[in-house]
Amino acid sequence: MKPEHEAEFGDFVAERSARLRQFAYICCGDWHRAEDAVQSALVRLYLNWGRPTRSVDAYARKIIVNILIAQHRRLWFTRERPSEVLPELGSRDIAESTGDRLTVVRAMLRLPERQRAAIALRYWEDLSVEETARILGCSSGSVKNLTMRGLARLREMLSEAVVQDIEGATT
Amino acid sequence: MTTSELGRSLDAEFAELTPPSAITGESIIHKGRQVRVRRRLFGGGAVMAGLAAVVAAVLVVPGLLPGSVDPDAARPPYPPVDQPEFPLPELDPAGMYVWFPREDASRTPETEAISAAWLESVLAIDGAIAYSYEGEDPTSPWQPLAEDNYDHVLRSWRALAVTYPSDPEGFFRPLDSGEYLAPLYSGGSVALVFADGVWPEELSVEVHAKGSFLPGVGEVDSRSDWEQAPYVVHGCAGMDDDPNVLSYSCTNSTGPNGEAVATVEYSMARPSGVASRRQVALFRTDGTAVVVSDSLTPLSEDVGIIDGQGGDFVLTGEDLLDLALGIPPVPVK
Repeated sequence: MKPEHEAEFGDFVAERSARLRQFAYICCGDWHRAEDAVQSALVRLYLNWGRPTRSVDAYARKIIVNILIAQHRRLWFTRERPSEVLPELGSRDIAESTGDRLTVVRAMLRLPERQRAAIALRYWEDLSVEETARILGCSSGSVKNLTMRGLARLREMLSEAVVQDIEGATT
Repeated sequence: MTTSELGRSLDAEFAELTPPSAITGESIIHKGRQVRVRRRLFGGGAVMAGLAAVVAAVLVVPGLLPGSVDPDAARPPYPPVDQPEFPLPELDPAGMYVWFPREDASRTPETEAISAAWLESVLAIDGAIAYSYEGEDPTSPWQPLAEDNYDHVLRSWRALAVTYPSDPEGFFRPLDSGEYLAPLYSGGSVALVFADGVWPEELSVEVHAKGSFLPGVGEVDSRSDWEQAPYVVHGCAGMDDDPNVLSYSCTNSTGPNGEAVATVEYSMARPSGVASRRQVALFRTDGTAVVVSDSLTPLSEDVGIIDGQGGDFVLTGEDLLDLALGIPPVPVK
């Protein structure tokens, strides 16, 4: 890679790695796994830096999702849980810093992984349904379904006062 | 709160929650350069020749490949391998332990030797079409297994974490003595389709380092489903307490070289249907352990479903043991 491209890549890491870690954390609920996944994703991004892509950010998120799916898939049987809800592993840091308060992050971590990823991409990263579908590797209809169900479950978990105005996405 | 305010709430909470990171542009570029060099090396003839020598050295030991041995005859002992040891830390009997994946997986000449032997064994299974996903991308559709799309066995690392019954929320955390890391060769996912419309059998293999596990089988713990650490497989104790378990069996036997062998089978109800799994854990005399897993399950919608209905395993426990015996005794480090 040419020095100017490496400098460009370094700038991207400096600007975006924190946000990508937060996205990975929303997906997996574990800061260590999030850090590992983002590091792996950035290395893969480095190896492909300069190749044409619609959006480097979206490409990085897709790699992160793929890495986390791969990990989850390997753990599917060893963790063997009766639902697709990810365990609340690693949330101790949140519990310690927020006490018993149910924060939006904590509520998000109680959603099934694809629902929380879809909500994060749509309403936190402000991506379109189509862009979200590309990252998650599913149809636009699936994205709408995931966000609808995810927001409905958030409603159940958070008080009506907090989420009563979350409108539009489910109607 | 509108949906845009939902995003702002996440931003505000993350501003407080996000821990410091070791990721820098320089560190990623450094790792990227290392990977690039490694890829060039692995693509080159020198290392492939070295790998071929490793594989050849293993394969000339008679009886290490499935199908090549009379099951009634004892296999000769493995050639002596000085296995590095990764002793477990002191464990608290009151704690419940789990494994977490750590660090990026990588390939080594040893993993490639395992891959080559595994691939050869799997392709020798009669009557099945073997599928794999492409490279390291598990979201890609499964396709007929070939050398260039084979998901190689990788070396990864795993950490041991603990929780206690007194912990009201059951969160796991690293051991008080610091995070314990152990190497693990893991992967080799291959789906075998024996007939149209029947769920495939998905095979995978793990090779555990000497000292990094307790011998025997773990207990299914009702406090957290199916945790097995610090064992390599869970046994049947506790399965009666799980309403999702439909049937199970656990047997212990002895391998041809005096190895302890544990075979675990169970079926459980899942939203997608009845999922069944059979595992054979081979505790080798050099202190390492090989676990071959066979899951009868529809492939995930993420990777493309091979449609059909559940059924019975075609491969037997003895077949899985043969596959485990075919894994070469390379150093696990």
